[in-house]
Amino acid sequence: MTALGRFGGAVLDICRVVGALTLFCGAVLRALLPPRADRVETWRALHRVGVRSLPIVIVTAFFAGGIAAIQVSTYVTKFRAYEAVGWGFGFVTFRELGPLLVGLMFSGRVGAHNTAELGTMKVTEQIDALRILAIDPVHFLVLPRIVAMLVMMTLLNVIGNVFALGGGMLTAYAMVGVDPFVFWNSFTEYVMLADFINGLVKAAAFGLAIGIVSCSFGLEVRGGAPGVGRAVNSGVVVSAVSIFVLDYLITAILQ
Amino acid sequence: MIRLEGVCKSFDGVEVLRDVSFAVPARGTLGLVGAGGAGKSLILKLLCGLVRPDRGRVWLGETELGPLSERELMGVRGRIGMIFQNYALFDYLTVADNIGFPLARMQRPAAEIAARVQTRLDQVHLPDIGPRYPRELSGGMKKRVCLARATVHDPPIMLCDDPTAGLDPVTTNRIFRLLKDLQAQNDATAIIVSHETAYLRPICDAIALLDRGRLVFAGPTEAALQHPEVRAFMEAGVRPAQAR
Repeated sequence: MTALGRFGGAVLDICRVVGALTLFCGAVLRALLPPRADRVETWRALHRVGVRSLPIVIVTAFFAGGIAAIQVSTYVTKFRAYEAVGWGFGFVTFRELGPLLVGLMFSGRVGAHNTAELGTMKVTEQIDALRILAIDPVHFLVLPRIVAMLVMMTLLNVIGNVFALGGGMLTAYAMVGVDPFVFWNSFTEYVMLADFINGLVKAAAFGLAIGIVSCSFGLEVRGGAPGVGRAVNSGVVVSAVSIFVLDYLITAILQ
Repeated sequence: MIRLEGVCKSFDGVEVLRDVSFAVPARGTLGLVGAGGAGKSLILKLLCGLVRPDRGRVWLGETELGPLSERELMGVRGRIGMIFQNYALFDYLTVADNIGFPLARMQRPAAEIAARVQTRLDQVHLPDIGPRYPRELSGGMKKRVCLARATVHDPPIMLCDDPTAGLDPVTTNRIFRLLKDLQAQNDATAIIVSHETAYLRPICDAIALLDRGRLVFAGPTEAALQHPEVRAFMEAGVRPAQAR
């Protein structure tokens, strides 16, 4: 195949994915009028998505905070601007590093699991069984999962911020010798509510994107177990790309 | 009454069903036979409205499925009990919750659900497995649980997609007997897709033979056994083309 043919094929693949996601978003929006997410399934999804993701989010956030502190410390030591550590850390972590890393972890853990679960339900005819029992899979399976991912990604980001702050403070003290009180003062003095809200908006958008992408790829599975594997792989890749595109757009809009 | 009129269906340019027409009278039992890939399972999906025909009409009682929206189809599907080839039990629910699921969705009282679930479990000779999960069951047990779930809401139409695939003769016999009992109990109209032709003969009023998407024969069981192609298939599993 010529290079032009391969390029054309790749463009068509992208169009196919974007088209399928757009149609899926349309189905989700239709299901929201009026909103009829299954209550029991929504609680189940909130528990599974939120509580079980907590340990991995805590670990990720703690180290993300540490990494941010190390990076900031390089310049702090150079310019002896110890009182800027808290600000630099907070700005980078709350606005960017926290939501981005938690989002990618969330996509890898929750999104992949969700695609695999829905894909398996599709190939074992459980989705057809639901439809025959007069249950709309979008109301019963998709809406609860999207709501859970949107809510929990936002909440987990808040919890992650707390642990990132702890990680940053400890690292700054251990690596550069910045007093935790100096760190805290700098943090509270210069990090604005807007920085925190910026991160929350991103987290909510990432949660929504991961929910839509993972559900869409799960329900589109074809071809048995290998099809489930392919869908999980594609779902994680598309979720990651969506996270970066959304991050770019939100950063540009809220700047 | 279940009726198909001139139904055609293609996937990706491949014609899977060609001009298929047959009818099953109310409270009748049709055995749908044919080699793998003949289009038997597709016919069941057309009857549930899970797949729409490219041409032709599908009727369940007085309702034609073609013009119905997905939301209207939901109402029609409530009248159907379907047994899936791959069980299609919900992995995250216990056996009791699986069987009671249709009733729970109808918002029946918990006590009534529990009583009806236990009755069905007793009928399928699995009285004690309510708290277990589908992953803990054998294939034959899953099939019987699937049968219990499909019939717990007393549907007037039963569609069975190869309900004994991969099961031993004892379990196969038990499942066919159960099917017949539950159908009689519910006064249901049934279509049974199966390769177990020896078991189908005594319980079916009519037989239909499909070959590569084409209906070879549909009629009363006695007449089917006189038809050379059906008889060859029923007796030896010979493809209609080979019987000619």
